[in-house]
Amino acid sequence: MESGAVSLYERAYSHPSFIQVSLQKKEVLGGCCVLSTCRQHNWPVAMCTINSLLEAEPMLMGVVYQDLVKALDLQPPPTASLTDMLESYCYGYKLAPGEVPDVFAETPEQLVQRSAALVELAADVWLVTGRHPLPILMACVYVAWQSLKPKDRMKHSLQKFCQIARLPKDACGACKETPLRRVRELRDVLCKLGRELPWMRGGAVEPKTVATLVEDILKHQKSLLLKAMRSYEEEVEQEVREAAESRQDDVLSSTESLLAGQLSGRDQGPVTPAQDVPPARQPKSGESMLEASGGSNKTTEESAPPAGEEHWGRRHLFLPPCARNVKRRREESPGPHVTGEEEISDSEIESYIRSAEEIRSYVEFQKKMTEN
Amino acid sequence: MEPSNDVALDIIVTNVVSVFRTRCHLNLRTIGLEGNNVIYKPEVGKVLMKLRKPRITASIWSSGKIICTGATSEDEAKLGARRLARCLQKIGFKVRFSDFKVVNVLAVCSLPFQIRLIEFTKNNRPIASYEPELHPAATYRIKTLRSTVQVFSTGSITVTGPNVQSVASAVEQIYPLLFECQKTLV
Repeated sequence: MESGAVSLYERAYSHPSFIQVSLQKKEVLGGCCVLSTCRQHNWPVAMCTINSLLEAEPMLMGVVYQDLVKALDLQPPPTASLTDMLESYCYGYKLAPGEVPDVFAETPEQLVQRSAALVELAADVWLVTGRHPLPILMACVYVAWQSLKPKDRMKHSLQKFCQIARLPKDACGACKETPLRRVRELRDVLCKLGRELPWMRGGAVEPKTVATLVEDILKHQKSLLLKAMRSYEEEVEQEVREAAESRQDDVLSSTESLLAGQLSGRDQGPVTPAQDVPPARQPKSGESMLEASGGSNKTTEESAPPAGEEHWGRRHLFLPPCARNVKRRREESPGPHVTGEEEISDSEIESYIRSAEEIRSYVEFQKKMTEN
Repeated sequence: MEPSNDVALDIIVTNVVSVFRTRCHLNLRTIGLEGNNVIYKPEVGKVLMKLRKPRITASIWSSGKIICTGATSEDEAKLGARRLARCLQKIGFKVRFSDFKVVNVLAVCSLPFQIRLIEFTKNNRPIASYEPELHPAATYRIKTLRSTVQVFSTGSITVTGPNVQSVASAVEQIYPLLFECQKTLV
């Protein structure tokens, strides 16, 4: 593999794309050649790992890697799956018995086994796809470590865990908050599944204490997932039904008030001239009430969006987090049909050109600015 | 399970990039002075001009080459380009609207299912590539159509191609491949 990486580097170094580049880029090129060779031999290495060893910008590494693949016409090697990377990643944690106190110690095999189950769960519930692998691995290893001796380890934060395991500071790339976010997401999923355990009886599960339930959750993972999704679907259907019923009630009450208003209007009709209210106003008031009720109808209908228009993400319990709160695309009214050959009038063009007076003022203003 | 033939997908064109030439030299300072809604960038040697209808932004070079971006259809791009040429004529340049060409179309489409990106990449190597550490989407390049499709796990896809027809063909071509790799919830 070493000779493979060296020959690849020699080829790339003498390629025209990489001749007149900075020294930093050439160093990163070496790392990219190693990465490409490792992947071709199914050696699980993450780009972040090589990046942290080279102390280079992740963006630069990405650019150079893509240029390398394009320039040398390399077959894009497959990215290593998380489970392949997990074993070598776990061995990077100094948690073996003898290296740390017994309370914190864990054999790499046990850690790998528990973490692999958590990684599989994370992949099933959309926490893995499209994301950087190392923060997820770190989060899974941390939660796995806690769950193996929860009573003694639950109180230790992720930062403390990294110190105990003597991880290098840039083990996870530039952003330190990403692993924390992944831990939160993973715990959130474990809480949702933990709630479905029969002995929890639907009670809430706290993220801080979910480590005690991880073993049971992983043992019955598939059935808990199905159960959680089913109960969520039932909840959503119940909410939709209640929303529809409340909308119907609102419509009924507004029509009742409208009828009552019309009846009271008719009753007041003969009295109106004595009260100095012109009779013409009666129908208007009736109309205005109609409009008002129609308006209020509209507002009640608008405030509770019809079921068909609610975001599809509401109906799924486990979704990619980005899909949960999707920004609604602003619906612009479709413009008039355009053929590209329409006549262009002078008046609309003139709006894009300054008048002589405007030009004069602009020039004077520029002069004053430069003088100041 | 085979993809149904009756699926209707909304392909929304979000950007059309077009170029044309004016066949004359353009004085950028004059355009910067006499034009409304213009930004003169002497450091890069171009002027940016924005039109309201259609909403497009044009980059104008002194050689007479102009690139227009922001239109949402090919016809709109042509209309915007012609309007721009008329503006330059009004300013006083001897502009001849020529060599108009749509060079790039960007469209987005939302599929009704989520996608297993790793499986999609494995099934379609080497045309598909997926580097989660660089970008969350898998890239699928269709050489025959000169189009690129970026596939996200949520089912959203973005398609870039030289024209609207190739974008539509790219979506038709990729749909069955994505359908095979749809993610069913456990």
